Amino acid sequence: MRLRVVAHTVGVILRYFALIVILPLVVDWLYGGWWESLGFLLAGLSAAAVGQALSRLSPPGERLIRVEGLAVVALVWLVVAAFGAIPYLWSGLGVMDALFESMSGFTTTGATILTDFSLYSRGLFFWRGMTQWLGGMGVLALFIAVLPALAVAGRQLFFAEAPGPSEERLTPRIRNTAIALWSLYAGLTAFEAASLTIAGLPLYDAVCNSFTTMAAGGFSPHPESIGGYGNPAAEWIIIGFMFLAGANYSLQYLAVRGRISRLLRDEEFRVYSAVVIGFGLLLFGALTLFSRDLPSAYLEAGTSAQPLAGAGPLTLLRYGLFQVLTIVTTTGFATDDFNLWSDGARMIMLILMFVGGCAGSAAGGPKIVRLWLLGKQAARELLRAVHPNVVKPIRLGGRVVPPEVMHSITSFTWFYLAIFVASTLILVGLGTDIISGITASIATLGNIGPGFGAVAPMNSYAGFPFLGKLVLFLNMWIGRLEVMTIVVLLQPRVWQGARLDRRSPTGSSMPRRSPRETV
Amino acid sequence: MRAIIAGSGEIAYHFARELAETRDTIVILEEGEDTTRFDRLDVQVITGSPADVEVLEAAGACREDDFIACSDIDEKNIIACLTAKEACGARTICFVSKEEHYRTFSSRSGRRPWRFIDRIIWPQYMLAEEIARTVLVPGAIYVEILAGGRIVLQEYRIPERSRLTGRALVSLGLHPGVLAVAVARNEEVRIPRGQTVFEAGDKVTFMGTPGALRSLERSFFKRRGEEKVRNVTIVGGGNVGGILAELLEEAGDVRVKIIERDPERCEELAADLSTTLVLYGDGTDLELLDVEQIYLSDVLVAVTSDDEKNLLCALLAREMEIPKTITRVSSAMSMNLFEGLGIDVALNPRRTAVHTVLGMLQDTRARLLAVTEQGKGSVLELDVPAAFEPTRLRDLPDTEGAIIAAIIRRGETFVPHGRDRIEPGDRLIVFATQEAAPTVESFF
Repeated sequence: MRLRVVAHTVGVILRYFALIVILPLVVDWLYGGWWESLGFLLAGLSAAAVGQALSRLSPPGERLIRVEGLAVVALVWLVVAAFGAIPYLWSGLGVMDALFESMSGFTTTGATILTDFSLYSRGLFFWRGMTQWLGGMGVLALFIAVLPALAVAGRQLFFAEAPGPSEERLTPRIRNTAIALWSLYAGLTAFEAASLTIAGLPLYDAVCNSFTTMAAGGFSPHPESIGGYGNPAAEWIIIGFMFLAGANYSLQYLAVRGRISRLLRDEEFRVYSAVVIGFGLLLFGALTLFSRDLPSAYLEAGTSAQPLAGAGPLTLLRYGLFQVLTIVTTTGFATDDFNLWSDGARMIMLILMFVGGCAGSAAGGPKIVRLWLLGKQAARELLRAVHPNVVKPIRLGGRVVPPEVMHSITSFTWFYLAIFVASTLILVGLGTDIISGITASIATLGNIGPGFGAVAPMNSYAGFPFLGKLVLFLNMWIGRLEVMTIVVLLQPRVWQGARLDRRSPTGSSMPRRSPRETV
Repeated sequence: MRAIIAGSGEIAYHFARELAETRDTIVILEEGEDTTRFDRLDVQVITGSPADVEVLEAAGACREDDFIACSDIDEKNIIACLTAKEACGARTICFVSKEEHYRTFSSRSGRRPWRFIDRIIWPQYMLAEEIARTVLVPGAIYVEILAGGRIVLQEYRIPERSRLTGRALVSLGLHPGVLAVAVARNEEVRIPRGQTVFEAGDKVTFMGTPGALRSLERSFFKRRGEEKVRNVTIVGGGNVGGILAELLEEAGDVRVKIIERDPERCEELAADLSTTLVLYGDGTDLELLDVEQIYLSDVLVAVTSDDEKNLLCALLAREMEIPKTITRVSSAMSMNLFEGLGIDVALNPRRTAVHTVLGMLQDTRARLLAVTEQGKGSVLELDVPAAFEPTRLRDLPDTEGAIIAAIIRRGETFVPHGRDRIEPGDRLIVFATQEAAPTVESFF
């Protein structure tokens, strides 16, 4: 591991990141927040300065070896979150709170420590939505798309950051793939913003909510999330776009280019659709039962409208589908304080927190495809019990899944659960109740956002102690980079021979690796 | 009108032997290949690469010649055909053993056909297809589907104590949609007459409409629990075994188990096949056969590359009382041995391909549809010329060695009897013995 080369690459990215941080400045100016806008200027200038300093540590053009690529990805996400936190600090948040909110943004989690939304400027909420939008398709993917300098290391960085075990190649060049995905992503976001404006949302809210829908993020400038707008048409629109955000963007790109059958025939997409529809109907049923006999607690507390009281089936279906999608795609919007719903309804949502969307989507979580393949592997053992000599590969969409991929999925699942268990234990040890501890832990690790109890959608993460926030902060980071990137770097053997000088450990400045190797 | 054969293997030898009887035959052998076998035949042997223009010129290849590329290596055959076609314009027949080559170069691919290959032959596929057809008809030992499924040929072995023995054919009361077209006894194929009496052990070929053959099977060849074939075991997952499993999967409603010895080949098979159960192990491993309940199979197909292993599997199958076994036999000698041991169906992959090609090479009006009994019988299709005077079947001159099995007239297919007329424009499906086949067209 050549630390200087890693630092150089991080620096290059940070330098350009500085340009992005400046953007919400304009929004603040438009809405008259002159003082608030200085926070973005400060963030931009410091990112540029630090980026410049880091990038001079090593000459450009060095090839990254595998672990260096992982380190770059892990570090970029940390550093970007740190500089992205500066505007929050400027608005008066504490250091841990600002870091938490910033990481929650970039990792598209949507967990917030903000309690009173009226204290902050429009530029800050725009920034909050924009961080999710950037994080949704991947910060590195964006830079790979726009920066030719990164093209060499692009492949491994791209796949280390991309969600899910999929290596969908749209174009032979990784840069063109990144461009294709980003343009689709931007197009869908614009389309959603236009639809929401037509449905009656103010332009500012339409844009901010579109940013966070397509990124499966879940931040909303409205303190009561999407439910606060009281606009059923907008909710249906968001239901549609959340569904797309949870599906594979590469396949959607092919669909837009006329090869729609690739998407419709995709096995994961089919399972995903079945999960959404199946659980949507299940939750619809649970809500129907719940709405017949609403407890007084629900009528007293909750939102001003108490929307489920006396609701018709279409309304209940909308609530059911919306919440199922918001959890499966790990967006984390809310149209009602679902913490007040019946245990049956909440149980359905708790289960879905352990699922996640499709590989190659903006969604977090373990991903449908991993769970589906693990299920197939389990079923194969049943067959093997009867036919000990049987040879049967695991297939996905007719293609054989190589055993190495199955091994990595098993390994991912184990570490995912281990981190979930460990962070839950720490949270509960710090005095959190079990329901809040479990859901806060999975909602951050799966990049979902809201959970139940203390972290319900109408509550916030502000109540956790410093250490609790730190654990959740790490959960979001680890979860977004799909666990293994970080876990691999935690091994001491990766750091043996780490050095600050420029040469590679073997003495050659161009470490050899096979061209097909990816991270 | 010469035949040029490029290749040195079993197939090349068969071609040389058969073709040398009727025309000038040249065999091109590569440097270092054994010529002794060919020296015994009346053929000219040239040494060199068949993809070498100079070698082809030395052979004097020209437009009228037939060029058969039948070495074991696909790429060699393809290049040889390309050279022969481009340099000399000969009619080319190319043997391949890989699916992708067949797919690419066959005219069935739907794309623009490749001009340098006139006919492409995939022997393993032909064999697998033949086995698949035979597997799916429980009692039959050979099945051929003709005229788009409107006419079926099925061969049966007459069992002991059958109602078909001891009486003349006319008095058996066969379904009018069925004709007995051939009887094979002591390795000799004859066309049965009305007075012919079948004996147990005879192999009788019937042709007719599918419905009529089903009723024939029901009334004369029904064995225990054999309404339909449900469980098939394939021993040997090589080329033929793999294709066979795929064909049986396509047929649907059949549970296929395939036993293969090579773990890597098992992985390949498992990747290519979907419902077939791929089992890693040896087909003669009794414990494996027991655990997998192979004794419940309706048919066992032994298609390993080893004749002896196939024989052993077939004998084990008989021990397990599996109703039907089909085995692959490479050498003609073991063929007779197998039949002598009472193994129902033994098939030789090369013979089928060779006889199909020989049929193609005959420049006659009659088209060869199928061959039976290793070429001793053949099914031909021919069109009745417009000048032909309509004639009742029984008024036709005596056609020793040939029988009209079906008439296709204006899209309708029927099995003719003595009173039926043959009219100009009819398309006839004729069964003929090897001796009579070349003369069939002279009747009209």
